[in-house]
Amino acid sequence: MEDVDIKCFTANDLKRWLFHNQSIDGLTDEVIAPARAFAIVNNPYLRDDDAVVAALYVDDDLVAYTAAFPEFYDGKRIWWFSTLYCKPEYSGRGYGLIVVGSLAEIYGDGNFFDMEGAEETVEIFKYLGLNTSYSIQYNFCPGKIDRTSFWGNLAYYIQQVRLKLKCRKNILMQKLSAFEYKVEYSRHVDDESYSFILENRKNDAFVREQKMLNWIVQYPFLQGSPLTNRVDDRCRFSSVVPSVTMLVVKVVVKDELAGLYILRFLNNGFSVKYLYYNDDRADVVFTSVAEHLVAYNNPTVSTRDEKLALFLKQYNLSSKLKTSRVSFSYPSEFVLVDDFTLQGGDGDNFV
Amino acid sequence: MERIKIVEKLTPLVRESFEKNDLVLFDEMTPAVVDTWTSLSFMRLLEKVEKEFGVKFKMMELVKLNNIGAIVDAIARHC
Repeated sequence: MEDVDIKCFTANDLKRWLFHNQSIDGLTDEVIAPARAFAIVNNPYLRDDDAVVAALYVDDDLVAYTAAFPEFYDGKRIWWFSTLYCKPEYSGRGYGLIVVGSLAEIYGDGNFFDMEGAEETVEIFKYLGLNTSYSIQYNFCPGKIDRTSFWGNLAYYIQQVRLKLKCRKNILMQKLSAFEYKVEYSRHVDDESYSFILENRKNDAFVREQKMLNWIVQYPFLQGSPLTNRVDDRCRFSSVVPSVTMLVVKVVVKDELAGLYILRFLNNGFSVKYLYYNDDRADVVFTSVAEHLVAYNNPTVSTRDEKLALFLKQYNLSSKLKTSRVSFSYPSEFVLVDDFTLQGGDGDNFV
Repeated sequence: MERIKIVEKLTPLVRESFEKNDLVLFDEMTPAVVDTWTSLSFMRLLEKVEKEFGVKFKMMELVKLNNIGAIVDAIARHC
C-alpha cells in the first residue's frame, strides 16, 4: 500500500528556506524553484502564515505540486493558482485535484482564480465550484525555414530583409505623420502610468493596485532559475532561461502619454502583457510595439489584444498567426461584465 | 447502501466517464488497466459519483481512491 502524504508550505516556510537556509521537511527546489519562491514571498498582499505551496508525496517521492499567490479583487483577497504539475506516471489518481484542493480548502469556498490552457485543470476548478470563461491569445510564431541548405539560408535572409523593410517603412510613415512619438522604458509603474491605466482600461476584468503591477514587473518568476531544476527535460515550475526581463514602456506623443504597455522579453521573443492606449493614438502605440520586432530576428510575439494582433498581421510577418484559447476560472458568485477583457499578464501568465 | 448496489449504480458512470461500454468493474481496477482512465476522465467520474450518490469527498479521502474498490468503499462510508 502506497504511503501518500500532503504538505502545505506557508510564506514563512519559504522565507526561512530562502533567506535563512533552514531545512523545511519536504521543501526543496524540486517543489518550487527558488526564483518563483522569491517572487511569491515578495507579493505585496502576502502574510507570513498564508499557505502558498502544496505538494503531494507517494512513498516520500514528490509526485504533484501547485502554488498560489494573492491579489485583491473587488475589495476581497483572492488567490491565483500558479502552475500545477503531476508526474505523468501518476496521472488519473486525482493527485492534481488533491494538491489544488488542499490549498483551496484553506482559502475557503470559491476564493480563488485560475487561468489555464489545459482541459484537465479546467475540470479541477469546475469540480471545486468555479465558473469558467475563455479568452483568446494571439501568437505570432516563427515560420520554419530549413537553414541547413543554401536555398534555405537564402530564403531566411530574404524573409528577414522583407520584415525589416516593412517595419521600417511603417515606422517612417508614422514618423512623417502628425504623430511622431518617443518611447520611455522603466522597471516601475509610476503614478503617471498608473493614472493612465485607470483612465484607459477597457472592461478589464481586473483593476490592479499600483503595488501589484509593480510586483508583476519587478519579480518575474523565471529569472535566473538554476540549471539543476531541469530534470528529464521537465523544469520544475519554470523554464531554464538565461534571463527574463519585464519592462514598462511609455509611448509619448507631443509630451502626452498616448499609451503604455508591459513587455516580457523571454528567449527569442516578447509578450505584451498589459496594454493600455488612448483610442485616437492606437496606431502610434501599436507601431511602437512593432518597432520591437525590428530589434528581434523572427521573434515570437503574443498578445491578448485583438486590435494589436490585426495591426501586427499587416506587417506580413514571417511568423504565422496562431490563436490559443485560455480558460479563466472564477468564483461562481462573481458577475463578469459583457465583453470583459483579460490582459496578458492576468493570473500567473505574466511569467 | 450495499456494495453490490453501489457497483450496479457505479458501473454506467464508470463506463460513461472512461468511454468503455463493455467495462466490467472489479476492485483492483486502476488507471494501469484502463487506458482511458486519465486525470480528465477521473475528474468527470468523481463529479458523476458525487451527483448520483449525493456525496462529497474530502481531499484526504480522494488520496485513497486509487482503484475501483476504494471508490466503492468510500461511497459506502457516505451512504
